Amino acid sequence: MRYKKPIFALSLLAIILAPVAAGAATANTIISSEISGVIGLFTTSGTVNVDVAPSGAGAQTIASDTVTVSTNNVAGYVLKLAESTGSSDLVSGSDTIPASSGSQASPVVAAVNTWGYRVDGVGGFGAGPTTAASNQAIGSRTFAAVPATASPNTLKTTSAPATNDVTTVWYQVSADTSTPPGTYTNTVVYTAVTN
Amino acid sequence: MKRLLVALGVIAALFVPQATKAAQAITITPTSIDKVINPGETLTGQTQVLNQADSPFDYKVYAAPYSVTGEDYDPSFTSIPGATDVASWFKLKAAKTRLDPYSTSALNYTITVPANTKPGGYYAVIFAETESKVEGTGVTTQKRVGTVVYIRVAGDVVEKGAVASWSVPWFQQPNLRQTVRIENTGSVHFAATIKTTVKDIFGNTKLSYAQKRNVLPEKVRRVTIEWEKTPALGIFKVGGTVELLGQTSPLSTKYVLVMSKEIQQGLVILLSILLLIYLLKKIYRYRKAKKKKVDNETKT
Repeated sequence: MRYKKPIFALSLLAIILAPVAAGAATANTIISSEISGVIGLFTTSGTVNVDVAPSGAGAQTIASDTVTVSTNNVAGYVLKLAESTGSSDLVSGSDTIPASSGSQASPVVAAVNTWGYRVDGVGGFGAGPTTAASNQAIGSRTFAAVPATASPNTLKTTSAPATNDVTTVWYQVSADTSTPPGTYTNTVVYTAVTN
Repeated sequence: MKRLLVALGVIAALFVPQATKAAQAITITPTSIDKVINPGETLTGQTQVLNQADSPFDYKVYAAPYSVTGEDYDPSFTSIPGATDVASWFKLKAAKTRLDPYSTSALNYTITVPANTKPGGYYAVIFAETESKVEGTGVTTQKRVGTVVYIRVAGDVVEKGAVASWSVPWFQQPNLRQTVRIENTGSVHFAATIKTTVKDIFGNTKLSYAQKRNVLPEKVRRVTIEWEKTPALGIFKVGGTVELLGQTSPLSTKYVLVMSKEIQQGLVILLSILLLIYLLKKIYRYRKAKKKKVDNETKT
């Protein structure tokens, strides 16, 4: 009973000091996050298969590659295409399928036993739309040779950030029965840098 | 039927991972680096290469020269005869040469500026490039992304530049376009901040644009600003500033009449109808007057 008063006094003191104690325990936390500049390049495959079953008059296969670029750069990006190696031919051992005689500025209708690329609406290719084809008669779409490593062609230039910005690149191979069988390949490189 | 479905399911399960496996996504960060280095000094730093897809890939890193051609700044990555081989200043070391799905690799770079290098701007790009393997007949595609490196070799550099031109045609079809050309006549790059606004005739801001662009020495850079949500019809006031090398240059205020092709065609049709009505009215009055004259002559 004699402790009743001190307990009451201590309780009162605790109630008075509680907000002070709580105030002393708070602290500000600064949340900091640095968002870095990025540019990313995505394709649906490492190899675009453009298989052809040749015919006497020449058969054409057209296949596409989807190139997707994302960047948070406010000035956008540039996408380029060039040969990765010195040769512009599709090569199978000692056999070759030469590149188209056309260029991006002046593409040409595919000739038999040639290969090339096109991007609808770019350079002199025209609007399209290009569609995939498998072992069809050679069509009227125009194609160009992939340029040499030192002089890549610009496929797209943008001026704003891009999220999954898609460019469809079409490749065609035309072959007649004079082309020996084999696995013909060529390596190209897509380059994306910010503006 | 059940067995057939199971077989199809197994085939699908076998093929789906392969299709996913083929996808490749290479990313580099940051997209540019701007450094000041003294002649004879070495600077080290780090970028990162990321795999942001489901498929692993091998990759290689290397430095290449960086230059631009034309006012639209078309980048080039090949050596210019007679120019300093800036790429040879770089030593690169990637922590990994194979990136697993959704993983990151540090890319350490060392830039050594030769002692006898003249002060000024020098440019290169650090590339990270996939090394896809050939898979069947067709075109094997390598992907490469780059970090542009702006190097200022310290010393007695010339920093000089100005707004070369500011063009906003008074009559335009949507989209409304403004073009600023910035000229660098110095020996080192600088960043120019372009700020423009498009206001309607009541003073309401319809577009506010602010962007920073690097301008390389002895080059002119053209920046075209396009208002993507330009209305079909309107009169707008366009103006702004360009900040470069610590100075602010005003872009004079210009007025633009925007009219879409459809409205122009409609206006031509309307004017043609009005002209036709006017002509028909004239002909009617002329004939009426002539008839009246004939009637009067007959009466007399």
